[in-house]
Amino acid sequence: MRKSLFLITLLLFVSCNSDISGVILSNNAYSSLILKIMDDEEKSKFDILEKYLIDESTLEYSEFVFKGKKNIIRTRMSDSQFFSNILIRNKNVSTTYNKDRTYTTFLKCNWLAKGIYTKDTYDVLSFYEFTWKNDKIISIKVFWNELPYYKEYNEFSKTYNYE
Amino acid sequence: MNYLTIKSIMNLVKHIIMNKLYIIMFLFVCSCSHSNQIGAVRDSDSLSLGLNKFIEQSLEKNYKNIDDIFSKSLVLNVNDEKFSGSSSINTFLDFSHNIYSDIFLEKISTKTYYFDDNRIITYQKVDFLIRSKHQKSVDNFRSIFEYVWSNNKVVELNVVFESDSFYNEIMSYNNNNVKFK
Repeated sequence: MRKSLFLITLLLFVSCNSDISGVILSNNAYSSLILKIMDDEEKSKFDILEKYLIDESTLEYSEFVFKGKKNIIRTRMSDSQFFSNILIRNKNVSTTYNKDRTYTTFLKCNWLAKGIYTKDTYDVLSFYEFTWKNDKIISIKVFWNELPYYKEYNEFSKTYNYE
Repeated sequence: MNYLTIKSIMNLVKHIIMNKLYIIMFLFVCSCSHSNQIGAVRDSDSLSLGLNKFIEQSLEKNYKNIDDIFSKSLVLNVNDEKFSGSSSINTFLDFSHNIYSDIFLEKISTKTYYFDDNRIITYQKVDFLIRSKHQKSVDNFRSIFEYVWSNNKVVELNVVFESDSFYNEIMSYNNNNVKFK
């Protein structure tokens, strides 16, 4: 009995210390929260996101790093200055529990919108990585093709002769 | 309390500790696993390390491992421009070396997701430092690569370069050369 318990423990201990940096979780509460946050983003609502941010949270977006709850919300809201009819489709979400005891929620989706200045419609592939610690989002990393933003900004600059 | 009593108490404590220790260790190790686990993430497995090497070699214009990694029927999506076939990787890398005189690796983080239903996907976040040929500027940009594996080959690669310089370079390159698209 003692020997078999020792062998099982050893086996599990070895598997815990392999090159595994995390485990993928199904039906995780964090995944559900991120889906709600993205649904709200379509409506330019950010109250759920705000609830889970702290003053130390950071957002890496568009080559910049924004720190703090207020700055992050302001940045997320800025999309509506250039785009209307924002839709987030083909959401593929997964949450992992990491070796350092943080959780990471990874979201792949298509970001669809209509440009306010060019009237063009856009459909761009986007990736979002949310890192959780103590039930708060401590970091958000957004990767998306910024072409729609630059097209709208260029048109806006031309229209309003803005440098 | 005589010496023998103390010794027998010590032995009893030792016995309990030794037996309980296995149970405590067993419970501790069991806490490593989650009940709703559907896969594992690895960062120093052969696929992750192979893709790190692919990026490093690509920067040195060494494309010899492309056929070992990518399927001939590869679907490549770079900032929402779609290409097909493993040769499209070479075309894209040549294009990158045409618009940038120098490309350096600043930071790389690669993780491969092994799902229990046999799906394997690698996510690679890469920060590059680049010097432009056309605009002569130095810039850094973030990017993400999503590699979808099937039968030990990458069948789908989605890349997002988050950079205004990349967009400006394509515009500048297209004004001076045959269009990239």
